[in-house]
Amino acid sequence: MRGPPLRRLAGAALLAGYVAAVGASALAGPLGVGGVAVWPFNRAWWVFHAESGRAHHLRVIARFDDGRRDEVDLAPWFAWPASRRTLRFDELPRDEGTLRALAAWACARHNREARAADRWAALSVSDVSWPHARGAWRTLADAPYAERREADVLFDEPCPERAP
Amino acid sequence: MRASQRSQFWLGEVDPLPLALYRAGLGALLCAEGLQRLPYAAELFSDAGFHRSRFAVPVPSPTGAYALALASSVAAAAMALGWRSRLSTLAALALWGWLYAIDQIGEKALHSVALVALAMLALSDAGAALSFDARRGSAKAAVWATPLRLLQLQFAQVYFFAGVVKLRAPGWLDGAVLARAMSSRWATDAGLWAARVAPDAAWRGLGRATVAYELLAPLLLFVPRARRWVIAAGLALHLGIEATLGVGWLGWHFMLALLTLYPSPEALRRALTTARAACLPRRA
Repeated sequence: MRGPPLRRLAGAALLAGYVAAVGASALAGPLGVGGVAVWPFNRAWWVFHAESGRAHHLRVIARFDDGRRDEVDLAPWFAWPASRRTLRFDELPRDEGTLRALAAWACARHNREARAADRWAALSVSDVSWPHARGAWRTLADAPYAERREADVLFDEPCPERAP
Repeated sequence: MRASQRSQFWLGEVDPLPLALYRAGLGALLCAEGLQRLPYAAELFSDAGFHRSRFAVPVPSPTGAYALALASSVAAAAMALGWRSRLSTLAALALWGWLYAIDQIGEKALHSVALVALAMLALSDAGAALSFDARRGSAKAAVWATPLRLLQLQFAQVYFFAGVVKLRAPGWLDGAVLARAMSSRWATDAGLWAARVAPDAAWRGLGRATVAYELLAPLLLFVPRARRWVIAAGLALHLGIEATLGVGWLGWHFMLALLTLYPSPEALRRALTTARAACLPRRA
């Protein structure tokens, strides 16, 4: 059961290409050339390789035209359970570009349907984290205030249609 | 192994049963995942949801997103049943690739592993057995071995390099990462319970056993005498993870791979015969 020669040649090329892609991905990190890593062959290598021991939540505060401020609940727009205890927005990377895009999207979505007095003028976004309790899931409300950390990423980011 | 045997192993022909069983199982897993995500299609895959993707792909309207998610499940079901196997596998790959490219926020390793597997499966004659295609006259006694070897290599390399990464990661060999994961947002109730009752020494032992398995299994899976023990240990590992951490169907996919891609066709055939005898009513 040798198979046709052309198929054997294709098989050899595929195997060589695969080994080269995986090998390049494996060596990319240690050699400091991460860009050489070939997606998606190495994507699963980092599953559960680290765990900080802290839970994270993305906090969004809206500023209204009259200066009022109120915490925004993004949950109604993000129903998909990204993990057992977080929604999709909590899984977002915390870089400015991503959170600025989130703020613009949330502003547009809210202001399209809100009454004039309830429209947002700007959003502030911060990452709130707190330590796990061993063997029990602790929500932000359960975490002692002293153990919480809050890192501001965006402050009063203007809603796009209101930006100068 | 002589050169001709090596060449036959990697490039020759094999019994289609392992590929057929894997195709049926992966199709079923993808179909279930697609149906699970269907109610959330507008958020996950439409222009009404929030997306940050590195892929420039068209994002459909909510109606289009529901249709796309449903089509991905239908393609996966056709693949599971072996109805136009190669075409349905290619359709599943294209549709799942599209969904993956849109929703990069909810993207997980299990999705990229599935995409790679679909691409390899699409190269194969996985519909040559246990399929509607086979019943309609496309059955074959032997099929191209290379796609099967690629799939075997893929799962083996994921184990191996995941082990290497853990070996270098602080907190794995002393069990700290594992213990913390059991209290994280991924932990199930069983995981939280385990974190409460198990001492640090148990987490240290489990952490080291996991790394040892991931480093050794990729080699031992190819050793016939060790294979059944490696598969049994792998099943125990993945069942333990599935019980304690909510990682979706990643573990079920790996268990499927262990049970279908590595055993000999003879062993699979014996297992199928036993399963059929246990499940089907005996004839008088």
